Amino acid sequence: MLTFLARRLTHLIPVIFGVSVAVFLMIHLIPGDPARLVAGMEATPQDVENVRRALGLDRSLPIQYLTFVANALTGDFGQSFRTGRPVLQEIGFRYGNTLALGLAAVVIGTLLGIATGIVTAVYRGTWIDNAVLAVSLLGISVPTFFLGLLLMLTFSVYLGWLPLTGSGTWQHMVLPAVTLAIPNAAVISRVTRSSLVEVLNQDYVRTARAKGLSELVVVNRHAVRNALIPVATVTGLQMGYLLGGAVVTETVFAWPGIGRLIVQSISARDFPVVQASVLLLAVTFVVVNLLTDLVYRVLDPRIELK
Amino acid sequence: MTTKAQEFPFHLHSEAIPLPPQLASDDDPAPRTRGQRVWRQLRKSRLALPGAGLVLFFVLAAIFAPVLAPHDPYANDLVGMLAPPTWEHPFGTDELGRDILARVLYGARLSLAEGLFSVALAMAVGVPVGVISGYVGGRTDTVIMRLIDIMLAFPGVLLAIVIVSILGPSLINAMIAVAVYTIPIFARLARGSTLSVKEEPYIEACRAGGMSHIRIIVRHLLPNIASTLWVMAALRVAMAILTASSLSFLGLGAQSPSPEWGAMLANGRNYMLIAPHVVVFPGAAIVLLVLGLNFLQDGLRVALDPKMAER
Amino acid sequence: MLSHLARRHFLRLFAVTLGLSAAGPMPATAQAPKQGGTLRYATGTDAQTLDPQFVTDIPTARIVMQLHETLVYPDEKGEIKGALAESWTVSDDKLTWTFKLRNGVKFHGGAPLNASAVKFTFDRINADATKSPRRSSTAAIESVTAVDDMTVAIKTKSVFAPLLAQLSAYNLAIISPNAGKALNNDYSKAPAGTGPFKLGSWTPGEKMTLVRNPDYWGEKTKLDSIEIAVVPEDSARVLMLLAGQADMISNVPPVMVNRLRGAPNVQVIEKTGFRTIYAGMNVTMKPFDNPKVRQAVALAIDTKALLEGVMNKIGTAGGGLESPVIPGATEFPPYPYDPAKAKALLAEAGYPNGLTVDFYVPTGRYINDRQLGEAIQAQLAKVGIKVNLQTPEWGAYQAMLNDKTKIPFFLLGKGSPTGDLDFTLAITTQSKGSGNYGNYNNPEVDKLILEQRSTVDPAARKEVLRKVLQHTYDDYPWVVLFYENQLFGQKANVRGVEVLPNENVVFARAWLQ
Repeated sequence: MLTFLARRLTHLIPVIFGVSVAVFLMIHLIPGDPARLVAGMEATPQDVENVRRALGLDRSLPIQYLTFVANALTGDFGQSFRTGRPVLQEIGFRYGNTLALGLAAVVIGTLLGIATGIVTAVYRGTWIDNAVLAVSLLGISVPTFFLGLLLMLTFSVYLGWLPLTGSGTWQHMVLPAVTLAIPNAAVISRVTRSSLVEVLNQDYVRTARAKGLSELVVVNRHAVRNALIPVATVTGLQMGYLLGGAVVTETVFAWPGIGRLIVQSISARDFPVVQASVLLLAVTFVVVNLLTDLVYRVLDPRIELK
Repeated sequence: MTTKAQEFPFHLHSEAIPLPPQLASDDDPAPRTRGQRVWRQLRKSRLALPGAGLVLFFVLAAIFAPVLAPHDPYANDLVGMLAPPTWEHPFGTDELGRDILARVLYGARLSLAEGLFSVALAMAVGVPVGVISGYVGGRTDTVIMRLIDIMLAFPGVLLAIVIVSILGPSLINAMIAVAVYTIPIFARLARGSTLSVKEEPYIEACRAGGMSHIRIIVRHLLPNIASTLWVMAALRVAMAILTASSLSFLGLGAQSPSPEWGAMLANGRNYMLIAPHVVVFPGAAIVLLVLGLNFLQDGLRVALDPKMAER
Repeated sequence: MLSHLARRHFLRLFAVTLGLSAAGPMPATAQAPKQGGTLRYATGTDAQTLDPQFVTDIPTARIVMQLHETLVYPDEKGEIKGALAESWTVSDDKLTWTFKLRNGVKFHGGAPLNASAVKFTFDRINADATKSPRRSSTAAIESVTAVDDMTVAIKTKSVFAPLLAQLSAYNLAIISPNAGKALNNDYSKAPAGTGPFKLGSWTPGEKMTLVRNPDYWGEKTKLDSIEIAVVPEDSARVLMLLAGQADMISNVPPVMVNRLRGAPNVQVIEKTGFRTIYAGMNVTMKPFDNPKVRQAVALAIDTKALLEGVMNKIGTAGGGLESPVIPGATEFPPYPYDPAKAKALLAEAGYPNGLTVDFYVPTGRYINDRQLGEAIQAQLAKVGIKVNLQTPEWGAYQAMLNDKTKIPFFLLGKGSPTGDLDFTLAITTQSKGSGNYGNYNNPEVDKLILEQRSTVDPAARKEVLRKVLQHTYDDYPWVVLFYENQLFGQKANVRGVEVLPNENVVFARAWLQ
């Protein structure tokens, strides 16, 4: 187990290093001049040059990269070009917001997904099964931006129950979380169904059934727990992916999360913020995937930890 | 090296998550008999035919848009702006008085192009890379897979967003960006399939018989992994449409006055409070097209995988 | 139909009256201002900083100017009045301006306003270590000296007529020497100006509270505090206002104006601003090197239709580069709409069968910018000019504009940070101006720009400036579409909020009924 973990962790280091180089190169390839954007439209050329020097953009690219890496290793990610605030401060609360939204979406999505998954497995082959399949396909066919707008129209504009966009209270979180949860639920529902069906066809379940227990009891007592192993895995992967920044959903709902921050910072050419947040997301993403992998291996003894 | 769970493609990218296609994992047997059996299964799946119908509908709309459209999709009418649906304008007009029905019809062309072009490009790059990686193995494999890992470490549409920012926002660049971020999926799948097929006796036999590597790959290997790749391709077309339209929604894809559905929604959202039809119709069009593709894909999956059909 | 129109007209009038009463002095019938309360203000973007010397955008300036004050300020008519300076005199050689500071003014930290604080402020923005992006605000100034404790002398490098306007710029707000040791974001944690409000709390990106400054030198605010919420989505702010979750909102989208005007207990404040929206042409690039083509474009764009259709009448018509509400600007009529003549001009210019041009348009930078681009595209098509719309994202667009050889035809906005024509005309119309993206070159204009700077008499200076505007009007380097209006929405019980033409919002005399 430990050697497995150690091996996977050492495998991560070149990936994260690679990501840092890739991000650095890519943001510098984006056309536009950060100094000019910071200085504003009405700035004089002299102002722009002053800003360029102040931001350290007059140095060569390799120097800029090495400075970034050296500082980053000591936990200093520099200051935002836009606000002058330390990047970590800039990212911090937004990361928390993304985390909160992601967790809410995973909880809603998983509960909904497991419930419908069980129902479809029990009633497999019936119209209920087909209807839920169709609905879950619908769930993954709706673009999040459209789903978000529809929910806003319904619950904010017409019913007036929930705020349209923004953040601050739990009510603000409901619509974006549901928007993210729906496709999520669709996936979990299908995974639950297929793994439950597989379990239900196994001998010990047949035995239980032969003992005369009702289908519902069989499902509840014997099948669900085993069937949930792959579901747990999928949920973990979804979590990693939702942390990865639900850029579109955050944009639609003006949710002050890290995905939206990245999009805004790219257009403002706020290089330090883009660099640090993309790196942070990438690290989170690979780490969550690794954890999920571990959990999967722990839960499912059939897989050997090499 | 990779767990089965990691091979579900749905966690890899995009905010729209496809269903876990059981068939898409490498260990699926290629269907032995095609033709009639597939067709029968396709018909048995209750969703495949409606799906095909929906897709066909949009293909026809795209082809015959100039005939079907009641108005010029670009013609402004600054007096009749944001008009609700009428006989004259069945889907209403947008913020510049343009006919939304006409724009939705023309938009079908763009969305289909988004799906087909990005997936074709992603396959054209990803499949050779994956096959070479799997077939050659060794250091080549390690290097390629590390690069793929780096690409995969960008969660969600992030990679696509960065790429579009570099190339500049436009429909074609959005399609390229979607293709780039789809490449790892095909590369991994092709590699995995290649690894499992590579050890098959008949490939060994070819190699022993002195056949050239290229010939082996083209004549024997590719045909054997093709069905897996095609199912994934069908799945990714739907995903690519969603992703490209998401980019357009973020202002990074198709640019005005192009009637791309995602872009129409992005523009329309400012008018949503007073004219909801501006977002409802293009949004519904995306949903229906993608739904059709997903229905079709689900049917295809069942048809190509006899194990699934039994369940 | 008629009654509907009449009703709309009535509502509009009604709203305008209310808007005026809200912005102007209280009518005699109004009750006395009520003390206390919190005004909830929802705005689209958060302040980037609270350090005046780092402000580069209007939303930030609006907040910073609640906390800080400048030496002088332009009132609603654009006349320069004393703020922290009580009075001033100019030396005979017109080089040295001597300001008498107001007595008894305290910074938020408790330090007194005096000549050394003013000197500190100017030294700070000029210091290398400060790294201010707006150091050029003091470019014309040779030195700032404390004559005595309450007197400051500002000496300019050469005769500089626009000095007072320059001193009213938000970048030159006076800050406390104690607090001002910290820079930019560190300063923002404990900003200390002399303004009527003090910073209460700030959660960047979400909300900010400003509280009454009990030590304010002038009339103290009626409001206890202002709660500023950052609500990026335009429609969300409108809904908040309608639902009573906000007392005042910024940047109402024009399309929502009718709905707000029809809603009870809500009023719309519409104020002409300093920002010009124009379509510029690069006079050194084909086909716009030919003046006839430029004139044809000017005649083919129906600015009235743009203003009434795309902008829902939100905006002020005019043809001169500078909004006439800016002091010193002269009003020009919009170019006439004459497609037939435009076609003839194109034929004369050698394009009888029309031509194709690339038109660059920003998206989301100015109100309805993309829609304006699309509408202009359709209008020009009618005279045979095929327009390819290009919508690069802002950062890339700005870089291309700056190159001055890449963009033949562009939509752009032009603000006026100082509220004086010198600054913007020098940038936009001088042949070497950094904001002259179309390479407009008229030696006469270059000469006049220098001339107005040393013309201290306002009337004489206005005439020189008029000549500059007249030249640019006759040379067709750009087509002014309109001047952007500032749109705010507020609840009917909000009184006394002043929206200034320079885009500042004054809450100092606001109260809630």
